[in-house]
Amino acid sequence: MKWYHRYVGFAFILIILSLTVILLVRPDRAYSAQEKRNLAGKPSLTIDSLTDGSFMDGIEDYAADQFPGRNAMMTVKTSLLSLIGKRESQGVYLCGNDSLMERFDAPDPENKEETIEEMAAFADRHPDSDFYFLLAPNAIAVYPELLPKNAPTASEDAYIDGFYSRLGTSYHCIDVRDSFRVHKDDTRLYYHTDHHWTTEGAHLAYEVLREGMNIENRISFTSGVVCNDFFGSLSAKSGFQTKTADAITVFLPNYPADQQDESYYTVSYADTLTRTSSCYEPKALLGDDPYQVFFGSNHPLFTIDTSAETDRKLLIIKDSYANCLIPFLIPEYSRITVVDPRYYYDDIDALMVSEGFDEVLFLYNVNTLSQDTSLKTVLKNQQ
Amino acid sequence: MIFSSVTFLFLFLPITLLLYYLVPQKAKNTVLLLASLLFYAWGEPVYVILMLYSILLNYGMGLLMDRVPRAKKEILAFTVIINLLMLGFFKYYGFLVENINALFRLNLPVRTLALPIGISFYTFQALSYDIDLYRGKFPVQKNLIKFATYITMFPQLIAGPIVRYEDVEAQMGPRKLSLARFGKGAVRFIIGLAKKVLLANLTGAVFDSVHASGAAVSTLSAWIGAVSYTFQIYFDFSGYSDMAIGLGQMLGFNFVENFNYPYAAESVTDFWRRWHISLSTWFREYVYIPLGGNRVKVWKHIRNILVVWMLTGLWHGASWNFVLWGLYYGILLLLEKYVFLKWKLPSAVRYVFTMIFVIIGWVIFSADSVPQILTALSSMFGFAENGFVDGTALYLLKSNAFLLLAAAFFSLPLLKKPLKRLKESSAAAIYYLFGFIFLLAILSCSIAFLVTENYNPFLYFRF
Repeated sequence: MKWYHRYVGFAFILIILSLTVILLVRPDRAYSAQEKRNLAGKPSLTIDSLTDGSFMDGIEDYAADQFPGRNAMMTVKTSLLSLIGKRESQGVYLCGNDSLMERFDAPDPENKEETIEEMAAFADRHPDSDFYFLLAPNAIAVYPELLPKNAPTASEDAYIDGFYSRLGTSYHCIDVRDSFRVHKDDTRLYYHTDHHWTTEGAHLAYEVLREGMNIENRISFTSGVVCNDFFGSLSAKSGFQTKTADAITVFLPNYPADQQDESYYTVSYADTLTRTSSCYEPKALLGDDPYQVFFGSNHPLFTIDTSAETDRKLLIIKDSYANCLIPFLIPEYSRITVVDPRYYYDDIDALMVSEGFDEVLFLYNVNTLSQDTSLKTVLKNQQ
Repeated sequence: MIFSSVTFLFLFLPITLLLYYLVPQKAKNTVLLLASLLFYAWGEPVYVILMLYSILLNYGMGLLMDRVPRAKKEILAFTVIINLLMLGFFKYYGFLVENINALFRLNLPVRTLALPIGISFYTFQALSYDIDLYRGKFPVQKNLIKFATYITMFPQLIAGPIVRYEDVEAQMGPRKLSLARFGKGAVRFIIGLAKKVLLANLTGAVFDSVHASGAAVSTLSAWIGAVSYTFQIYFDFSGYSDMAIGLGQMLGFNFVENFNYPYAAESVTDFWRRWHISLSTWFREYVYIPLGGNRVKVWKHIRNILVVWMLTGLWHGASWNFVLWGLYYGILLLLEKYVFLKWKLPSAVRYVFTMIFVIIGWVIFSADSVPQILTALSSMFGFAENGFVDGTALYLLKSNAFLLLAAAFFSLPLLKKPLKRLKESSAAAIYYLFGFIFLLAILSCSIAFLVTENYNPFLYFRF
């Protein structure tokens, strides 16, 4: 009996002490490639952070994030959860077809209302521009049959309908749902391991958008796979290990021989003050978020100046779903300005006036918009 | 700080244990006191001053009682009143003002103070010292460090058990330490940690998802939610007590047991002999028996029971649902004593009814408001908005059936006898081998969940 307790006592203190020592000695990591997020660093010690307890919370986050073997522990946890029959982790469902889908949680009605009001007011303030709104459904709304049986989720359709019915007078609402549901078995519209739509999905959405925005079918596109070992954000968030990796494709325009000189454009990023001649960042394919192959990461504002023979100027207000759709629009506009309200702190009305956009496109996916509070803030900006 | 946190397990605990074991016997209480103050201040950086004040008050009044024996009664009364006023002000002031406002249609300003964590626990410990000192059960504690160590001891500071001074008086001096004792504590701690991190948090997440749906549930979902909470509160609370008792053993203390398989009880009376034993003992010792207990006329006994149980309810939080919960048990206990227990029902029937009453009790306990109790109970008893069964209920049942079965299994003493027999048989080696592997496995899983899971609620912030 005593010898047994000695063994347990020894093992316990050995495990705790060695993990403590590694935790304290090992250099901090700033970023987790598996979880695709920045890890917490040491909290700053001030009188305020001590008295309000934020220092102590910071220490807990810091220690948990820097914990030795964190990735392996994530695997242990999700394996144990799926072993006991759980098909859900951190709001992500492990679905049929070896795919992961994010649950849609009932949106905050107040936030939805405020966003609708600010969007309507914004369009009313700028009567000279045409306003378009594409609210993309997420995988869960298009492939509900892949969900675990009876898995609870709120209705994305109701959310989209709510926006479209209220904004129908000031916006041309582009509804991709019918087209997506018709084509959902022909092609993979969403990644299996990431929350974005695939470039094929974006291409299908572009086809619907093209009709809505009166863009003639001038340029065709050819697709090619640029990455086939992509494990995206949903894998990272949930920790579920799926077998099949995703492939990322890009669609390149086929300009007719006599219009080749129209194919050139430059992309200017306002935040990094850099300029490139391509919307693709091939370096990202080697990194841990290959989706950033489209325009790098999310930028507050960037401008695409093209050599297309047109004067049409477009403003896109968007989340990351737009990143892989924008390349389809490049041949049709002389200038496309792209704003991501989550990182944008300038005066959007002044931008509207100084640039004189012919068209404004709001492009969001349901999950992001339902949790977003930056869009209404940016639109409210100036009266 | 809470036990089930990375900060506690991998920063506070190893450093404290190292210092505690390295310093000479004489300095051990000082190390324990300083560690406990840091432990408390980590969660309550401001209210730690209130706790220090409480320590000085009760220590000083103890000395005074010893010095002026003829005014003992007055000093005790004064000390008890100050302690209760402090508890009342920080815990019940907002609740009281709200009710006065509602009753007299007034508009007194409600200043909701944040409740100092653990105030109910350390105030009750201090009161046990004051009252038993008055009763002459032990000599006064003249050593401030020993007294402060008793009040603040981090293992039981924020979630019990409520250790009466009488029980640890002898242990405040030099304590015996050994690797075997430490290991015994480690076994207990690991079991408690796994109960909290694996069983309580997972069942708690199920309860939360049902709870969040409000009235829009089916009868089956409502039951799944109630049963999940029943397991959550047991594994959370008894897990904390196990960790406290285990940590106590590591430091050389022997604390009283706080839980004894409450969900194996065959009557509500039996349930309360097995649930949060240290609290029921406290109320029996310092309220029920002084009121006359059951050695009085029937109507007085009924009064005593109702007073004690209303106070027990209120102890759990300043809110009407806790008062109702306490009275509910008071009434059930009276009914059992005077009616049900005379019926001699078969034990299976008694068991089922006891568990149904206990589950209903937790529905009252876990509600955010009184109307919510009615909503939850009517959902459970056939008046659910979404009918008897809906898709969500089937999903919850399918994805949690194994978890709930495991929780049921571990909440009952099913393995107690076979394991004891195995331990005493010639194949005891198997017991030790598998015991060791099992402990390592649940410790690893607990750490994995602790590090990677954000959901880790603390249920005693209202106590």
